[in-house]
Amino acid sequence: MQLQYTEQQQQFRQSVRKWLAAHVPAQPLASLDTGEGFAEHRQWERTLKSGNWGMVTWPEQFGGRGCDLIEWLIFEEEYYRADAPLRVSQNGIFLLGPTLMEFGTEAQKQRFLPPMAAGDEIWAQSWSEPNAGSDMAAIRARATLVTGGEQSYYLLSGQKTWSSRAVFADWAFGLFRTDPDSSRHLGLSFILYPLKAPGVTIRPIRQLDGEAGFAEIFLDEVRVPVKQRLGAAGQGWQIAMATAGFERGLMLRSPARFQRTAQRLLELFRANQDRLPATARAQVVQAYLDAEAYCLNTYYTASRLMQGGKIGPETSANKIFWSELDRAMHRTALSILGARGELSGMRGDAVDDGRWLDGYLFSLAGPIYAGSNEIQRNIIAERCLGLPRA
Amino acid sequence: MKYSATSLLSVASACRGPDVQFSPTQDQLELREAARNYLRASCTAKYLTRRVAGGPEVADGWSGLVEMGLPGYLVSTTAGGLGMDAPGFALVAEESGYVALPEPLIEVAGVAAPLLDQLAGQQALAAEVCTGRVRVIPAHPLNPFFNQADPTDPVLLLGDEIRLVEPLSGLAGLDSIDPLRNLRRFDAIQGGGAVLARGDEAVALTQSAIQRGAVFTAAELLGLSAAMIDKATAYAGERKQFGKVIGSYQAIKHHLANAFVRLEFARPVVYRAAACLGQDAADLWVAQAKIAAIDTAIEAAEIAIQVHGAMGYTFEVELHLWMKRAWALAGLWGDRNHHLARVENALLSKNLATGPAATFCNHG
Repeated sequence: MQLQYTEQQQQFRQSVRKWLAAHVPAQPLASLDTGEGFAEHRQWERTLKSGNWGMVTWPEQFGGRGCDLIEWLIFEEEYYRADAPLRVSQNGIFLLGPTLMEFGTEAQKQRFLPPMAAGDEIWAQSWSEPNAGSDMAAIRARATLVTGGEQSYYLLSGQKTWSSRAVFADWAFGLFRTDPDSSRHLGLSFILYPLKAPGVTIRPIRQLDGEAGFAEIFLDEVRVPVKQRLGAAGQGWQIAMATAGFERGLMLRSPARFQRTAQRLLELFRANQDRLPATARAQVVQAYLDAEAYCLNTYYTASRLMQGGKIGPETSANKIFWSELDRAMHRTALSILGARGELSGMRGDAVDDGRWLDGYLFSLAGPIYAGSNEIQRNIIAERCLGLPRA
Repeated sequence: MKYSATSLLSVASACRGPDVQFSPTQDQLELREAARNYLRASCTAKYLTRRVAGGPEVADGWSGLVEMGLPGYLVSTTAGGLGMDAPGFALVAEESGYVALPEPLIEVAGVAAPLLDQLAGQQALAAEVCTGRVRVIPAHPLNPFFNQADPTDPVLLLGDEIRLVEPLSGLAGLDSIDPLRNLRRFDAIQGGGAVLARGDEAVALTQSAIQRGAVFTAAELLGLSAAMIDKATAYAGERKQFGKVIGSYQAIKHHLANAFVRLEFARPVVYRAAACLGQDAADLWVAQAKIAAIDTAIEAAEIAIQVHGAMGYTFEVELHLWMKRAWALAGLWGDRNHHLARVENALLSKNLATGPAATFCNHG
């Protein structure tokens, strides 16, 4: 147990810092849930790629840097320190990318990874259905196999929902029932499909902030070649669980994000200190403590994984911790802002361009998406503590 | 069960460069394993109950620790110790908390012995602590009461003058909520005794002794928390209501999951403090560790008693001994407010570097 960066890690940090200082846009980009903002964020992905900073954890053979987890954490720290834009390619780089590398064929990797890395193909996820939310195994959307040798294809039919990025993205991945007689976790397959294909209808859903951050996807006999199935037919649940593990685990929310928010909260507190009671101070200090705890836990898990450990159900604790921390920090900020907290960023009078209000709205989604926190608590109780299923 | 220290030291002395690595070394793991096996076999709930009842048939709990070399864990090998480091001892402290060990292991091995080892001329005394011939109990005004397990133990008085005060047999005891702590009043310590250090040296040694006391107590609280979660989980897996074990209900599951989450996120905070003692930010990081551990233990205790229901409110199950120890240790070597004030000062007054990239000392 020792906690000092190596010289090589310090140099790595300096090179990230230098590159970001020269390339991060001076003005914040428009929201990535608008057409204009989506295009700007896609352009930023291309800029990242040009410096080979797009997918630092990917192996070099797929256009990444082959960074280990400590280097990834350093990269993220510098990324948030520089206030760089959100990653519109997140679904691809952190979820589908690693899943493809683990379960994809060579041909699938060659076909999908390079355009994903280049920002040319941006991915949406499509797990949930109207009647399959927390109970994801209740999926009904089906993929019907039409056999014809090399020309075999699936026809996708059904409805997906809460599909992040689907309004503007190019491709989506999701689970479909390939065995019509199956139920629950069996008989599902993991399928990749283009969102511009005939038979796909996208209905944007306005989120709490008014933007169309996610959508419903209606699929009506969408023709998809069998080679766009990831893994074997019926293996979909297992693959999706691996993907969800990446999501809840280390990669979805790097600690730097919350440390940066805690730091901003401290600045906000300092600017308003004279009129605030001691309880506000205590909440701000708690935000700092918890953001640090989240960061240390991530380094701790990274150490364990680098020693050959596996990511397990304890990552559910991660998801609970960061989502509730994020909500608490933004709630504290809004309480410091008081009456000014009501102003949204649209008209230019809001403190910090309405960032705290936007952030609070988004933080309310945290305990719901990527598996609600109630589901995560069940997972911890059953798989970490060994309590019986209901 | 004698633990062979020499076989470990060849591994321990291998030189390593800097690294960001939370995983324990092989020898830290082996010693933790040995301590765990010994403590869980010897310091059982039944044993604790007998200790509380008192009487001559209760086995001495210290000699077994001495046989394992634990009092000398942090003492250099030249003085007869194991020559191990603080992060390793934090793991042992966790194990001692898990069994609610009723011995002053943190005080003697974590605080006093390494201080004596660093003092010119006191290595012989440190060696006697290792052999178990003498047990030195540290005392400092930060702790208005201290746990003097036995009135024949000499007291190491910390401060801007470090003194060794001979046995305080005349001191009246105080009642703790924890029946396994023998409290003495700090302000009853009389003058006298041999001066071991003065001035800057005494101040520096005292400061690091306090930091060790706080961080190892924090580690002990983690162990207590883990034990309380395990006890409540076991109870929830047995107790039936409405025809099912109560642990199958989400209301119970979510309580225990909350305790689990807190513990998961406190542990690395304590480990960082233990691994970074002596660095510039050590004081801040120790404060964070103690706060995290206190919050974890207090919540684990509240959840554990809730899950046990009325049983938890009785002497019928042993949970109360763990809860009481947690409450006692929460105030030791700086209570929550003491440490929170230190964090606040660092954050708000001193304009300390915070945010991404300020987690470890040499971020560059």
